[in-house]
Amino acid sequence: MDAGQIADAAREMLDPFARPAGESPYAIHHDLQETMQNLVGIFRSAEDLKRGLAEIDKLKERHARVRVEGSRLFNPGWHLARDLKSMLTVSEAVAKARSRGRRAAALTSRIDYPKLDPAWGKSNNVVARDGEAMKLFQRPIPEMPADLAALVAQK
Amino acid sequence: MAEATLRVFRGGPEGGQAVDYSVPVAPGMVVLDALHSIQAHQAPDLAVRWNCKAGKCGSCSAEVNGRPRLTCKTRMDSLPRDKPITVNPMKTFPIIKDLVTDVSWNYEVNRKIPPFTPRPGVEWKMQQSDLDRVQEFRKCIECFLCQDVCHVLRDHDKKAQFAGPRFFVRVAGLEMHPLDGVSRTGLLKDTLGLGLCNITKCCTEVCPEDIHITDNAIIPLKERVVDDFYDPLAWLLRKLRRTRP
Repeated sequence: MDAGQIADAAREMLDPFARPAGESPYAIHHDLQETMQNLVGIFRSAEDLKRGLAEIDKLKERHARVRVEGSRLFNPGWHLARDLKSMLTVSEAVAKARSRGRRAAALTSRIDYPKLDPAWGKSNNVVARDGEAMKLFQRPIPEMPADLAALVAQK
Repeated sequence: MAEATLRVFRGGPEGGQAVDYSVPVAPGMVVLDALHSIQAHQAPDLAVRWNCKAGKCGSCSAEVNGRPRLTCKTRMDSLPRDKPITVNPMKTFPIIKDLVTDVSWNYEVNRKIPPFTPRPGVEWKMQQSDLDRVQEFRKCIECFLCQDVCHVLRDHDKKAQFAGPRFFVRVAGLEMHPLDGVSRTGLLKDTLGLGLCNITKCCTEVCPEDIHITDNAIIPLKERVVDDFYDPLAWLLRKLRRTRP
């Protein structure tokens, strides 16, 4: 890691203190919770997930303007401003994966796909970094070893 | 919605002042929820240490209306609303910021206690009835409210001579363990200052885990120290046999 990267990271951490105006991290956090609950929740549809991803994009823009008050000593608002970056990343990954997944053996509840699709029980959604974007692909679940399969088959 | 006023200490080691915050009260709300509401809407830099919000991590200790409490287990509807609810940091420990105190002294005391040491060659078989009494001590969540309320630490600041109720609970759990083979009575008498406790039972009263600290830990330990060091007959026998307790 070079000194430039460290300086960038330090600047990213301290920027929220330097902004003369901006939004409280708690407001963004609250809206992210609402978005995930309402649009990316247990019961969801393709339409909801599309809107959810758009909302997360807006929240990322708001997060770029987050402002923190007070000192660096034990400052929960500052900690939240930093945590939000990871929360937004995870939220986007979850929403992306869910918008591809159909209904596999009661794992998800896509209300626009009421029937089980056994094909989705055979692969995992994987989200990986692709430059600055997220790449989503499917990876087949490894076959169950024969001895385990025999055990499961036993009544 | 009903409102409550919280009078929260804001400041650091150099001092500070109480600040009043008006908070909407929702059904089932606890004081920690009210503090979070203050963080979210009025003072994002209000320092509060918390983790589980379920009375099990022992992080959110503070003094609510003058009583040492877990703020996550203190319901707003249990407090009178006609005057401000005061929330102060634990007085016994140095303030870091707002409601957060430096409790590291406790961890230093903890290191002085020899850990569980089974008797050599002991059979690892125990009766549940022998374990019942030590299991009570294992309920401790290390909220340090007992340390906060104890006048030996709080008012007389005897941190150098006195370990405090939390560590008598820990020692009791080790001393009364059916397989443990180490005596800690000398340590209790000389290093941990057990004799300074004059059993006012304040620690028992504030314990959120309802451990009977005084009755089940401290008094039996005092009895063990007396047996080992102050029993005249035993003292004489030891002199004759040239043994140590």
